[in-house]
Amino acid sequence: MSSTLRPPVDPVGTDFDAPTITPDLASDDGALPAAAQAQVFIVIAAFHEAPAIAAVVHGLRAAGWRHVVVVDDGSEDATSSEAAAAGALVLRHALNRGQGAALQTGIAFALRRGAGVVVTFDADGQHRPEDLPGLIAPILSGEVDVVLGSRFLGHQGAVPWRRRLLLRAARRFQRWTSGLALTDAHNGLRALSRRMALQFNLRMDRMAHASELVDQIAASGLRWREVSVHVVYTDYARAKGQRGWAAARVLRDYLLGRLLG
Amino acid sequence: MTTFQLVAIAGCLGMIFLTAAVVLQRQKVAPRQVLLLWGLLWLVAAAALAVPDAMTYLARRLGIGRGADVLLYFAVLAGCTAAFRLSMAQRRLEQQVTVLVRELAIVRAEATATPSAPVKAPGAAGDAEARL
Repeated sequence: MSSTLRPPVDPVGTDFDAPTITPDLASDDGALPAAAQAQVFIVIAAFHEAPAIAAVVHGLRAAGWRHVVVVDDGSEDATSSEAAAAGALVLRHALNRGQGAALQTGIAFALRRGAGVVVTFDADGQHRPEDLPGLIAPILSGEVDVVLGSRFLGHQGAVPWRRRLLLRAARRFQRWTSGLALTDAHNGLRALSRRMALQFNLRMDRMAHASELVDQIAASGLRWREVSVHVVYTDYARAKGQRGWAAARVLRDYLLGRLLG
Repeated sequence: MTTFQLVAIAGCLGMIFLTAAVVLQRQKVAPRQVLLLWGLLWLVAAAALAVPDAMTYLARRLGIGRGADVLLYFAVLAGCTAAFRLSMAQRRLEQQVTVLVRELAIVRAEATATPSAPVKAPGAAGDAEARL
C-alpha cells in the first residue's frame, strides 16, 4: 500500500448522500454531556489505513471524544504517525495479527485505563461520529450492556445489493450458531459496557472475530440492543473492505475456531 | 535376504539404539512414553522387513489383501494424525504470539503515554481486573 493511493480526504461524514437522522438522535443534536463522553473509549483497529485514519480520528476528536485509541496492527505505512498526529492514543502491534486481535488489544488497553464504555469503530471512514451518542446512550442509562450498530434497522442505507445478499446469509448463519437474531451480522460499530468488555476474550485473530464476538455476547447473557447507524460506502472503504469471497475464509476460520477453541 | 532388507533392518536397529540412548541419558528431551512408542515403531518396522510374509498374513486377516497396502493405509493414517496435531500446535502458537504482541503494544503505550488518571465509571468499582 503506497502513499500514492491517498485520495483527497473529506472530513468524515460529509460524503454520504442521504443524511438520515436516526430517531435516537433527533432529540439532542447528537451531543452527550462532557462527563459522559469522558468515560468512553473509542477503539479503532487499523491496518494500512494511512490515507483515511487521520480524518477518522479528527472527526471523532472534533465531536468531543477524548479517548480515541488506534491499534495499528503492524502497518508498514504511516498509519501510526497519522493517527498520533490527529490526536489518537496509538498502540502498535509489532506483527500483523488481524483485526480481531487488534480489537482485543484496544479493548484490554481501554479497560486498563478505566473505560466505562468501549466503542469499536472502523478505520476506513465508513462510520459516522454522529451515530455515537445514540449508540452509547442505552449503555449509559443502564438499559443494556451491548449496543450493536445495524445498517438495516429502521432505514435502508445505500448498501450494494450483492453486499446485502451476503450479509443476509451471514445473518441466518449467525442466528443459527449463536441464537442471537441480529439484523446486521457484521457491523464494526458497537458499544460495550465495561461489564461486557471485561468478558470478551477474542481468540479468532482475523475477521471471524465478528461472529465470535456475537457468540460471546450470547454466552454472557447480558442485555443487548441494535441501533440504526448509517454506513458510508465510500470508494476507499469499498476498495479496502472485505471482498465477497473473503466470506469463505471467514467461515473457515470461524468453524475451525469453534471446533478447536 | 536381500541387500535392501539387510540395510533397512540395520537402519531400524540403529534407530532403536538411538532411541534407547535418549531414553537412558536425557529423559528431559521428551517424555519416556513417547520415546518408547518410537522404539516400538522401529521394532515393528524391522520385524516387517525381516519377515515380509508377516505383513501379508496381517493383511489377509484385515481383509486388505496385500501387505504393502496395509503399510500404505497405516502411513496415510499416521500422516493425517500428524497434520492435525501440527495444525493444532500451530494454532496454539499463533494465539501465544498474539498475546505477546498485545502485551508488548500495551506496555509500550503505557510507557510513553502521559499517565492520565483513570476515569472511574459508574459500576467500574469492584469489577474484575481487565484481562489481556
